[in-house]
Amino acid sequence: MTGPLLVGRDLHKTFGATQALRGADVSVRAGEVLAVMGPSGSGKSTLLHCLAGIVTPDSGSIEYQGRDLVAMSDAERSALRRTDFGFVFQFGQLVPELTCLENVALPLRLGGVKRKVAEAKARQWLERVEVGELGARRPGDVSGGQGQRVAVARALVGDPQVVFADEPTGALDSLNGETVMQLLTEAARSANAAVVLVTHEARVAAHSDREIVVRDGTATDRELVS
Amino acid sequence: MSVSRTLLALLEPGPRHGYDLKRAYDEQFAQGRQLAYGQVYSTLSRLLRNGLVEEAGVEHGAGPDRKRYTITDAGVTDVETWLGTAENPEPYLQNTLYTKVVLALLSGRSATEVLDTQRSAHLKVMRELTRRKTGGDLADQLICDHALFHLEADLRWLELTAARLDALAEVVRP
Amino acid sequence: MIRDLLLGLRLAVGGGRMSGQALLRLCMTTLGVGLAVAILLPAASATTIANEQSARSAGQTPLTEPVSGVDPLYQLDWFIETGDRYLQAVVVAPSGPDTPIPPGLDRIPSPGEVVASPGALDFFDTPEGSTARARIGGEVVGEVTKPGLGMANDQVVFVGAEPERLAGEERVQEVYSFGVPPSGGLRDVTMVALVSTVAVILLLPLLIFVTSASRMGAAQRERRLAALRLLGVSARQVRRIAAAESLVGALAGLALGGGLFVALRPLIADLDLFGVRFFAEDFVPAWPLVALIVLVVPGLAVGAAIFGLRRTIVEPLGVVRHGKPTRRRMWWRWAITGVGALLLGSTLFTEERSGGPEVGVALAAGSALLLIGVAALLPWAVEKTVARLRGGSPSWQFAVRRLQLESGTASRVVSGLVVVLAGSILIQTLVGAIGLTEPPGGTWRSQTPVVAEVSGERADEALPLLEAEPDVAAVHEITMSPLNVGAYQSSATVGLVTGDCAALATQAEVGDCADGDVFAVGTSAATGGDTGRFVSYSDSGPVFGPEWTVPDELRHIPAESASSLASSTLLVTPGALETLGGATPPEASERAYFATTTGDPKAAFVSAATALSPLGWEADIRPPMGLFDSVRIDESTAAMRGIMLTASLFVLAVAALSLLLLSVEQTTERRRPLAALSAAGVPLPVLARASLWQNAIPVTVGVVLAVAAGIGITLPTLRYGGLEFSVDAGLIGVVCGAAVLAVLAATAVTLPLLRQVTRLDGLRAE
Repeated sequence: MTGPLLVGRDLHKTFGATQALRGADVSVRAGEVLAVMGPSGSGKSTLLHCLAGIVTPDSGSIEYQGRDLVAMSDAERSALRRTDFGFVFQFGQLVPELTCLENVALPLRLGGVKRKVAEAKARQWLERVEVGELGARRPGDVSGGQGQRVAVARALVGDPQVVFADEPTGALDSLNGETVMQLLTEAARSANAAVVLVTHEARVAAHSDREIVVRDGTATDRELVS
Repeated sequence: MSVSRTLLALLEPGPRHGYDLKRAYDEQFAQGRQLAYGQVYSTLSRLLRNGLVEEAGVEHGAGPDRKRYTITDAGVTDVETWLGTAENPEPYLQNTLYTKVVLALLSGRSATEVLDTQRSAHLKVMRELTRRKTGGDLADQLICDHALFHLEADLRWLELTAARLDALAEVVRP
Repeated sequence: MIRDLLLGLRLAVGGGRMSGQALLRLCMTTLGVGLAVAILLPAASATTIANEQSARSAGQTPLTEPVSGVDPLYQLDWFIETGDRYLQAVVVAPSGPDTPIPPGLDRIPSPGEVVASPGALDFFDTPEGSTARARIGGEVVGEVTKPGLGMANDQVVFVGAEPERLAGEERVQEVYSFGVPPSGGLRDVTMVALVSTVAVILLLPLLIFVTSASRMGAAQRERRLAALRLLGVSARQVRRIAAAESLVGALAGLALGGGLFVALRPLIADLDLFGVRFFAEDFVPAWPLVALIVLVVPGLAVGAAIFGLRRTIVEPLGVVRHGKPTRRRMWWRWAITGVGALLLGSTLFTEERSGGPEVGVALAAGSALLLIGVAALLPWAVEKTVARLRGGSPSWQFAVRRLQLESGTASRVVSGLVVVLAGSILIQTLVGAIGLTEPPGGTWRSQTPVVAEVSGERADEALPLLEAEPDVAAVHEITMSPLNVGAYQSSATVGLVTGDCAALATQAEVGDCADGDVFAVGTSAATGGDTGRFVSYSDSGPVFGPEWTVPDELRHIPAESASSLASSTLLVTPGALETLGGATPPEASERAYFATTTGDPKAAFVSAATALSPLGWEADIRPPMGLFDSVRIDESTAAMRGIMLTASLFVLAVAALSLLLLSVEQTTERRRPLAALSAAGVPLPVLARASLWQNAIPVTVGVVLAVAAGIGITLPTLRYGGLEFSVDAGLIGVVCGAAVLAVLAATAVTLPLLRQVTRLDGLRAE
């Protein structure tokens, strides 16, 4: 394997009086599934937001494919998130008024792909996550598990390098969570996309190749130490 | 779980008599099943034989003469290795894990590291089970799930303990 | 029940723990209700104003019944013609020490003193009014106070005179007292009707506004209500609690509205509404109406809140919405629109300009029905339009899909706009068209500008005064006498205008004129060779004078080339009367002098009028048609236009506020998906554009419908009046531009919220 795809070093971030991160190191290699574990409030979501370029850290460096994420402008980071990253959140990420198909096609359309082409590809992805029949339905009319599968399809439709998943099964029961995790990791592995998986559940983390633990805003990555 | 290593670790902060050792053990870990004097002395003589402890003089008092024992360098290394090694993930580990956490706290070591080491070992097994499950039939899946849920319970307990380490430290370190 | 309401009240303002949403909702409800009340209270004062006014006018009625011991007041009504209106001056003189004083005066003005109302004083400052001021002469020594006025801007002037000069006058009234019991008149009814119509038009969008405001943050409130249900509150109680919450806003609104009314009341006196000004202190709402407002307005706000919950069942464990909204019932919308269109269409089969009153009723009812119908159809139109829209950029797709999901609220917001916009197009076009078709008479001007026409009992005395005036170039004398032509049974009266060539040239395009010529202007009743007799009229009937035969050689002058005085007359030079029978017009003929100038006609008129002021009411001097009056029509059109524009913009502003509320609510509701989208790299502009389209689509449909409906109701109405059609593109342009601005503004105000929502906090579920 080559060097890491995404590296964050000595990340610090403070929200008001709360120190969410105080020295976190993490690296993500291409195609690996990395679980970020830790108790609630430990700063694991903040770490994900930093790595994904949603939030800029107060100090520390983030490198993606040799590019400095911290130095990028907001617009550049937005564009990067659109083209290179995919996202799955716990719930409520689908646009309620768009159909499932349109939701999945959205990242492609924002990238300038024609509607027909985008929707054809979106349809393939819906079938791949086994909800091909839901294309015309609105997110409000599908179950939580189905909605998360649609979200997985949307995260992967743009062929991202990294998928950031923040408690993707947090709102689901065991069986649905299991299925979503299997679909997510299988699809990501076959697309050679890395997955950064924030979870506090060991069974979910068991789908990963490797884990790091965030505690009180600090995290050590053995890959970086060695 | 290992009584001999527990006694050895209890000696680490400083020399004690056998009677003190028994009291310390009963206080922290007995949970209704007190240690017999016989077991304490037989364990101590085994430790003496293996060079992990040594006698540190005799105390003359009102009662019978009491020998004081102290831990040797080899003993400290043994405790350190033991605490640093993950228990083989299997059901009903709690007793050992709990002992390890408390001893780490008592000896001023990082209990968090004990937990992290254990988590990592658990996850390794869980990953293996998950992989097996993904490839297997329904029966495999159900069996693997059984094991996975048990291991997860262990880990949850670990997380809970980790979250309460500060409170625990106050209790075990008077 | 009371306890539920109190609980609701506590929840609404509970100990300063109000969420931003709830606070905004409360403020908006307060604002909406406050504005509604501030509009309703003056409207409720209409009857008081009308009563006060009719009481005053009754109090001003002069009584000529002799009363013993009272010396009568000599009073003469002097109508001073200025341009196209009259200023009524009252010339007064006491006949003794015990003379009644007219209401509004503290004493009877002495000769040379003038007491004028504020309205008259303002009028004196206009070019037109300055002529009246010049004629009255004297010195203004005081103001006519309220009891002497009807409306605050009434133009009333009392002029003092010597009793001896009035005593002999034929037209003088001897007034022994003032005042009769007041009686309500038709004027009250029309005014009340007018005011209430305007109030309703302005209230409709406010009601919609309050409704949307009360639904703000509905999701959050419903969650709270659900929590109450879990504590054992019944579904019925929940409704009451919700009602009490909006009651807080409604009561605050009542207070705000009352405050606004009291604060703004003094300013009303300076407002020119439809050419009338009211006394601020007359704005006292009738108490039954106040009671009605106090009950009904909060009632409506509360009703709106409950109505908003009608499809929502608040369960202990959450909120259940009744799936799809009920199918929109279309038949009545189409029925209203159809009947309106039919009524309007039917008027097209009547002959132009010949319709009777029933056509007018059909037009009015048709217009009203069509307007209501269009407003009711708007939600459907938006729905259909949106359902047909497909594809487009992602932002467009967001907006279209969102509207497809729920366009009802947006449409309701816009439908008020449609009514007002269409209505103002109708009224504005009517006013514009009437302005266009002002009677063409008087547009002709003679080569040497005429500055004044002088007539009356002492016109002879005016002649030297005029000639002495340096601004006046020449004074021409003209005699007007009726000539009875034809057999006795089928006789017709023709006006004969006699004067020398120079005099006639002030009245028509006489061209080469020589003494002895006769001209027929337009379609005259007399033709060459007709013989007629001069006639004058007395109390006992017509008195016939000498006979005169119309010469065969008549020269014709088209009506457009003559003044209105000369229209349809025979213009006769004195020579023609001599050659044909030597008849002279009888003494009773009216004599008038026309003064011309080479300088500025307006200034010349004012100096001429000033020169004649010693003659007072005994010599009439008036400017020629069109010298001063053209300005006034423009002014009233502009005033009307201003009112329509203000009303349209007000309604538009309220609609924009409602749209804003809607955007704010939708943005807050979509907090998570928006944050997720932004996290996934969707640029903020895409989301902002989506919000822009979402506001723009209903407004566009609304404006298009409004313009179509406005023109649709205007055309038959114009045809009925026989008026020319001209769209006031300016007004429509301004309103359309304002609509665009409103949409942009509503979107722009949502932007900070959107920015805030798309920040990290939206992602934090914990």
